[in-house]
Amino acid sequence: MLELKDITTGYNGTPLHSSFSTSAKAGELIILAGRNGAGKSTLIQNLAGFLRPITGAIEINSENLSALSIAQRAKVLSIVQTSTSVWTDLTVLEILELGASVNTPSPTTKEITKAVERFNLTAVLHSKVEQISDGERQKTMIVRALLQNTQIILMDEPSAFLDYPSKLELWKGIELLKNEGRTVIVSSHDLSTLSELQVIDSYWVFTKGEILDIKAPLPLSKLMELMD
Amino acid sequence: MSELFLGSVFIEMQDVLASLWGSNTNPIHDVIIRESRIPRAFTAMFAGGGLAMCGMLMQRFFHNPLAGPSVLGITSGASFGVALVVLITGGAVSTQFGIPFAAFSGAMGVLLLILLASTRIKSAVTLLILGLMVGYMVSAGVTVLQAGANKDALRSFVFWGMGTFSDLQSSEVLILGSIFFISILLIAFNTRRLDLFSLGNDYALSMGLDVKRFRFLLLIVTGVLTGIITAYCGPIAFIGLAVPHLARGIWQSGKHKVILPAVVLTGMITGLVCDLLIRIPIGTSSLPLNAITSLIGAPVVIYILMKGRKVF
Repeated sequence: MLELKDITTGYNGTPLHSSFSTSAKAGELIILAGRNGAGKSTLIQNLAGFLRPITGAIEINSENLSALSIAQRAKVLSIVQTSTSVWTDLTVLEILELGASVNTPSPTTKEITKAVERFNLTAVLHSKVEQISDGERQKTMIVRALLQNTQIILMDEPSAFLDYPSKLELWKGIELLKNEGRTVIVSSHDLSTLSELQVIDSYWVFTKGEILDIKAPLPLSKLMELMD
Repeated sequence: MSELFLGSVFIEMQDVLASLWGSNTNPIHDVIIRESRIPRAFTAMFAGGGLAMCGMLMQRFFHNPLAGPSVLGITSGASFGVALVVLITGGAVSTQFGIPFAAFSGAMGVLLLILLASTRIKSAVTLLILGLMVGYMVSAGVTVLQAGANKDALRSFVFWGMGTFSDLQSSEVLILGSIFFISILLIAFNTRRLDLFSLGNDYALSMGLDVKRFRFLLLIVTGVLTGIITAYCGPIAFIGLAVPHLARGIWQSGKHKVILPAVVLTGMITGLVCDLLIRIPIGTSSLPLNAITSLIGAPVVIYILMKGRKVF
C-alpha cells in the first residue's frame, strides 16, 4: 500500500502544488495527467525516492520512503522511463540478466524466456538495445521492471516517441502488470490513446496548483477541461 | 618479444631468452635487457592498459564516446605540477624523483578539486564541463610559466610533454604495476555495477546501486591511475580515448565482464606497439611517443565519428 500524506513537491524549496494526500492499493493503475511543467515528473522522482517531498511523507507499507536504504527501495519500487533515456551497448538479454537489483542473483533463463514471450520480445532477445525500435526498447525496460518483481512500478512518459501500434502494445503490457496485482503509476501526455485503456483506476490530475485524485472513468473532455 | 630484442642495440632472440632465464653470458646485453628493455616493456603495458581502462570508465561515467582520462583535467594538473617545478627551478630539478613527484602532486590536486565538486554536482555533463574548464585554467597557468622560463627549463618541460615509456627504474615499474593491478581488481569486482550504471543514473539507482558512491569510486580509480601514469610517462594522448572503441569493435560486446579485459589487453598491446614504433630512427633521433599515439588514435576517433554510433 502506497500512501501520500500531505506532500508538496518541487525544487529548491518551492512547491509546485498545494499539499496532496491519497493512497494506492495493490493492482491499481493510476495515471498522472497535467500540462507540461505541472510537476508530473517531479512527483514520479519523489515517489521513486530520488527527491524528497518539501513537506509531508510518502509511505510504503507504513514505512517512510525517505528512511529506506537504496537497496531496500529497489525491493519495493521499480521505474520505467522514456525509451530514449536508454543508450547502452548491452543486448536485450544482457539487460534482463541484470535482474532484480545489484545485490541479487540474475533471473533464471526460464524466468526471462517466460517474460519475453509475454511481451513478444523473443525475436530481439540477442539484439543490442541501440539497434531495436523505440517500442521494443520500451518493452525491454518494462520486462526488466517485471523481473525486478516490485510491488510498485513507476513510469515516466513511457509512451513518448512511440508510434501508435507500439503505444497499444505498451498499454497491453501495463495492463498485464496491473493484472498481476502490482500498483502501476504512469505519467503521460498521451491522453487520447490512454482513453482507450479500460483498466485505469484513478487519475491524479495536476490543475491550477493542486493535484486532484479522481476515480475512473473520466471522460477525455472532462480531463482536458481540468488540465486547462 | 620484439620489444626485448629490437632497439638501438639489436639483441639476438637466444640472448634475450638467456637473459630471461638468468644465463646470459654477455653482460652488456644482460644489463640492457634486465635494466632497460624489460622495465620499458612493462611500463608500456601498464600505461597502455591503464589509460585504456581509464578511458573506458570516463566514457561510461559521462555517457560520452569522446571522453578520455584527460577530460577531468588530471593530465593538465600533472603538466602544471611539472611546469611549476621544472620552469621555476630552471630545469635544475631531478628528473628521476622530482618530475614524477611534481606531476603526481599536480594530478592529485586537480582530482581532489573534482572529487569535492562531485559531492555537490549531480549532473555528469556539468562535471565534464568543470573538468574541461579546470584543464583550460591549469593549461593557461602552464603557458604563463613557459613565457617566463629559460631555454633549458623549456626544453626539459617540452621533452617531458612528448611522453616516454623508457625512463623508469625497476622499483618505479613496481609502483606503477601495483597501482595498475589494484585499480583493475577494483573495477573487475564491479563489472555488474558498470553494466547497471550504463543504463543511466535513475535506472541504476532504482535497481539498488548507490550511484553517488559508485561515481566516486570511478573518479578515484581514474584519477590515481591516470595521475601515476602521467607522472612517470608524461601526458600520453589518445590511448585512453581510442582503445576502448577499438576493443568494443573487435569484441562486439557491451558487457563489462567481457569488455574490461578486452580493453585492458588491447591497451597493453597498443602501448607495446607504440613503443616499438617510436624506435624507428628519424635522422639522429626517433619519433616522440605522443606523435605515435595521436597518429594511431586520431583515425580511430574519425572512424567512430564517421560511423555515427548511437551508443552513449
